[in-house]
Amino acid sequence: MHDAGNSVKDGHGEALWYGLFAVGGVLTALVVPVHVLLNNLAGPLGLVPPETIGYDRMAKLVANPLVKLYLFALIALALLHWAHRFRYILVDVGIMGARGTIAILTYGGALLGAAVGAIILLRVP
Amino acid sequence: MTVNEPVQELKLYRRPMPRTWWLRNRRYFLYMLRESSSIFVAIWVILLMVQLAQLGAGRQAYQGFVDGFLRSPGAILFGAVVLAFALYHSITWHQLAGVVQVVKIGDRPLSPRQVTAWAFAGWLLVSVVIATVILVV
Repeated sequence: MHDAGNSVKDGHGEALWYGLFAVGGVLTALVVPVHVLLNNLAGPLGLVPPETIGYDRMAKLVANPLVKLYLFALIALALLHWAHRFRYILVDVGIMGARGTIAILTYGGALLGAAVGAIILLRVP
Repeated sequence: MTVNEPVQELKLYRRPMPRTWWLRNRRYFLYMLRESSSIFVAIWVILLMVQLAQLGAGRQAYQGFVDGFLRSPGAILFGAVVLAFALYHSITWHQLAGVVQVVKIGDRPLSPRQVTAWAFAGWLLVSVVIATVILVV
């Protein structure tokens, strides 16, 4: 096993990161719109019963270990999907000199976000 | 695997490219829009993490987040923008699935159009299931 930094720089980890990007792309394409619609628009605007985004309902749902696992997968994979795309957006707009640093910051940021997400989920009773 | 290394050593001519090349035509612009959708989804994920952290902090903290942030006009506007980008990601992703993913029924591959149609059907089904869990179960 190479350490993460070197494998990113050498492109050895490319297949792994690309795989995570692709799985993240599938998952976010399937589930993000309905979550945004209910949680950030219909819920707050009262187009669905307000208790939909209320404490009792949310706490009951997230108390389920399967829901926790699902939310962790969503958080981790959406961030890894972002990392891959954002890495190449930066290259696309001409930031070529710092490829290795960009890769470490984007993938590293995504992994850090996933770890924080896991801690947050475990703290919900 | 040292295949990529020598390229770094060569002094290759690189044609200068302005940073705004993607504003030059519609296709390039839509490509950049599609790639940028991941930024908005990532910001939404971070806000979801904040919401979950407030949920873990208890009823009062969570209700404060809902009333103070989620219901604010700014957050609702942001939700609309994220939804637009998320939909654009979903639509372009399912369209691409038809091109890159070979799906065979028996030994006959489905056409890209059919794969995309199944992807859209799957998206609808998943959305209905999630909405049912959130609203009803």
